[in-house]
Amino acid sequence: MNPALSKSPYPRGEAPDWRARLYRFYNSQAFVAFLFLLVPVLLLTALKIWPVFYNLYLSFTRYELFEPPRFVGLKNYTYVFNNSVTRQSIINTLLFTIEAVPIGTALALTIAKLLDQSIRGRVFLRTLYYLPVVSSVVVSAMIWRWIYSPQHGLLNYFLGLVGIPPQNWLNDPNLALISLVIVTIWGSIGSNMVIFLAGLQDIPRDVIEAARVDGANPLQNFLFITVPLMRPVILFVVVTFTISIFRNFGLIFMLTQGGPFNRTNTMVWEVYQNVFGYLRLGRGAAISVVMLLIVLLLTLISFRVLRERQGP
Amino acid sequence: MNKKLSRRDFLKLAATSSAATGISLLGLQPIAAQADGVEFALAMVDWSDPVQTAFEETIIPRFAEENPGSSVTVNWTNWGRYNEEMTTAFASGVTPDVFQGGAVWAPQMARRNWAVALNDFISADAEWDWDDFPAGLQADVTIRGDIVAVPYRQDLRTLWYNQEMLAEAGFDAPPTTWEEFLAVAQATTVRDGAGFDVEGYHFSDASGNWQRDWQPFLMWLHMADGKFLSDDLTTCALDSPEALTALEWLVALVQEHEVTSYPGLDPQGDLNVLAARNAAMQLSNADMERVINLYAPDEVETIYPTLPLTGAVQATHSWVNKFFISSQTPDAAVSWGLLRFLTRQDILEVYSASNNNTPPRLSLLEAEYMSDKHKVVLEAAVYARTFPQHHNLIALFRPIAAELEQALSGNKAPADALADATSAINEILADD
Repeated sequence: MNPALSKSPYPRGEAPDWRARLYRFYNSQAFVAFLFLLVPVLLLTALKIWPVFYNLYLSFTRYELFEPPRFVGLKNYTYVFNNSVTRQSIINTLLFTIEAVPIGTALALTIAKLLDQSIRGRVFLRTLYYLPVVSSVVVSAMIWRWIYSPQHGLLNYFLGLVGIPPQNWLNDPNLALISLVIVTIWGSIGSNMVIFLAGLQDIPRDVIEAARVDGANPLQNFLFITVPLMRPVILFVVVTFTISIFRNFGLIFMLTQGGPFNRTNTMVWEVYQNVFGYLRLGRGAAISVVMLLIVLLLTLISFRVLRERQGP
Repeated sequence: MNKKLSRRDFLKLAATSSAATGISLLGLQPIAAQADGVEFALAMVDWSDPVQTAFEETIIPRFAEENPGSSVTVNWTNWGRYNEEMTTAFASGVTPDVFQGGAVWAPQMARRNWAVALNDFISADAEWDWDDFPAGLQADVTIRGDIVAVPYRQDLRTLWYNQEMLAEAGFDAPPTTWEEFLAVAQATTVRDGAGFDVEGYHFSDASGNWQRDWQPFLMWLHMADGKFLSDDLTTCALDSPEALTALEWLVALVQEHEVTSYPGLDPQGDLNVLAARNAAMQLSNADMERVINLYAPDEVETIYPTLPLTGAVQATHSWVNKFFISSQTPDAAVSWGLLRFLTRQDILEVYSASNNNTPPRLSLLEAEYMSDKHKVVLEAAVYARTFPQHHNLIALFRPIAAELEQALSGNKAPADALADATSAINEILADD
């Protein structure tokens, strides 16, 4: 018992029940812990939770900053689904996710598995794959803009060496999105690889060894032992990678600005356009609410598909 | 050591944190509000390295000299992020006292009440001389009778050409009409298989933001005597025969005559396509001369401007850039002191010379830095049309940008593209 309790103004057993409890709490370590927790909770509420609810409120209003928000009901949501550009941005975002997440996750897992072996230069290779993660998105985008340049680009130069004509990577409507997907995967492999490497450390070596003794080759071992055991980690990577793609703004800002033909116009870019370009904060808020719902849905689907199957 | 934190420790920590936070917040106060003397905040977006040098070494020191005790803190930024910077600054109440704005900003600032009306300051300040600004520029910054800004630059666009390339193709003089323009463009185009070594005419860069196409289109639209919006600003005027003529002409340049690629060639870093000799002609502003002088000195004697072409009419487009006083400035009359200084004849001359800007004051038209090339650009002012004074132009330009992309790529007939753009723009206008 906390010695401070002995300072209670009430003789032992005579204090009202709620006061005694309050006094005990006030003198406990829990109270100090509560005070410490209060600061981050307040910050989280002010900077994360409150904006989410305020954003939800704004999505039902017309708000242009210089006038108070005006309630417009579901008009902004009707706009989101009726406007062809916004609809296209939803499709683009989903395409972006469908193209980047499976390929990016599979690549990161494969590389992590390869780098989990005792091979020469393992640390160097891990560092090399992780480098894009520590590079600023602006720097990465500038480098890729040069790589993709139709006239002076490195990629077209190498394609030219094998007789392939130069491609307009960022301005061809058929190539622009896939070009962004490539950059996104390149930029995310490092962080996903590290998560997978950590997950691989948790796989019991004896299970792998037992499978090997039973005649499983390395590929079978990977597909039927490692991958199933890595399900929770894969789920984590898929969910966080999906969220990061929905938030992918810097690359689009730097490389394509939503073009050509709105083919790289994603939802987050559309939010930016509506909020800062046209000062239609209500519409931007509605798009971001729809975006949040789609992310939630995709996360639920991922959980359903990838969650660990419980035994009977 | 296993000392547990007591409430007292926590309260000490909380008090220290609060004090630190308070001190930090004090540091975040708008500059103009915390000084004993007058400390101005100025946002500059239209700049280059020589501009920054001119401000740091000449303009700001001269202001401090003339206004003892006052100082100016300049925030240098760029057009790419300026709009959101200013929007968030206004939303959070920390705007600079004086800030630059682009060609379409005046009606927008007036609508949002983000700019101080300057009529009283201007009328009381005869020495500063508002009449020294051409009438067209005065009109551009006057919204429903309120002067909401002061121009600092006429961004006049006209035709620039490579004289050597034209001479090699057998042309002694630059084109003056659309027909002559086509003949020169055809003769100077050099194809490389499916691509271009040299575009006879460079329409727009391959990369760049969504605004790359509608800006040059606007000049062709004016030459066809077309308009973007009706005079009363209530409907889109792109469904007119004039607009169709302009777009069909551009589409023909790309697809039929093949004198320009779409998307166009990309600049080589700071070297634009004309300066890099990847094009023979381009519609551009006086910045072309600055770029050539800085980055392509070998081309100084080969690249020249000429007067705007004549289609249905001889016309071009002018951007008018301006300085505003923020409605959030603590004292507009005091901030006027900075604005009038920046737009004074001698200071504008220093600024304009550093960036090779076409000056907005009539008295500067013969300024020492105005080269012969610059004077040709200036002559284009007679033929220049400015933007319609609608407060939501950026949103209105978005549909035409998308439809231009469709038409110039051959995905949509020009008439259909214009009809769709008109419909989308009218929808925005109706919702406004």
